[in-house]
Amino acid sequence: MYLEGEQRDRSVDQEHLLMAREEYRQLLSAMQQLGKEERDVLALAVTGELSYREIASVSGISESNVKVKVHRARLKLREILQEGDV
Amino acid sequence: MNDYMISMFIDDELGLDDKVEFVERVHGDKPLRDKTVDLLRQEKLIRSEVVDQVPPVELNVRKRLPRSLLRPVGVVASALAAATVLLFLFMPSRVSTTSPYRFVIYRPDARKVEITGSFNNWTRIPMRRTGTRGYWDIILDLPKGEHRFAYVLEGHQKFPDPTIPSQEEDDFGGKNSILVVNRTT
Repeated sequence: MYLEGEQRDRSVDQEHLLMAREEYRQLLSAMQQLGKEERDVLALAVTGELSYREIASVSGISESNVKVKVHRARLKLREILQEGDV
Repeated sequence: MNDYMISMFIDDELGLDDKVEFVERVHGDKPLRDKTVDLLRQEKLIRSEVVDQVPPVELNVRKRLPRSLLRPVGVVASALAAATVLLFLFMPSRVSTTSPYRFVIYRPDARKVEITGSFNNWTRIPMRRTGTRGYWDIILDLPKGEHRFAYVLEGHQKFPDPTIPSQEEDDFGGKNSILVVNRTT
């Protein structure tokens, strides 16, 4: 009985693992559908390393433009994931 | 309130007054609250580093899956994009056949982080802790082309860069990140 329980737990763990990996795969696939510029600014924002001002300096666009582009990229990513087209 | 305040909240770009305004608005506006929670969950996934936080799926399970499910396809362009942008950070003033590339990884609890890759015959190079926020970094001169690399935690735990979508399995059951450097300056 103990072994059966252990095997069941292991099976559940494997299932969760596969789900996590699939979720991550979908995210990566969705990111490929973003435009290059959107992907770039989002990639820089999500690292948490650079402020919007620094991202603006790196990418050559204004800080206010960074705010808009980062947010649009997030919204577009959400839309792609919600549509399930990944 | 501008819609992009959600992202500014996520990225900690709001001042205290703006935070107060944002929280008040979110509490009184259900669609805004739902959207904010959605985007926060999405952000959690983006930053979750799932691939290296969870152990590899056992071989017998992985065999039943199409290979395409476990490996992102067509993602070289993404790595290229990230690499290109980050290269602007370290624009040298003279022409050279290599360009500096800064590798950064977040591992606040680590005592030792190294990097190993095809650019140095897979010799491990220690990374340095930057500040007190848990980041480790190293700047390496990379020639133009495609490079494979991975980080090594505490001298034994190898994992790919979670911020670079393009990865491939190595011959030992692990994964390497694929970084494309398309220009030198």
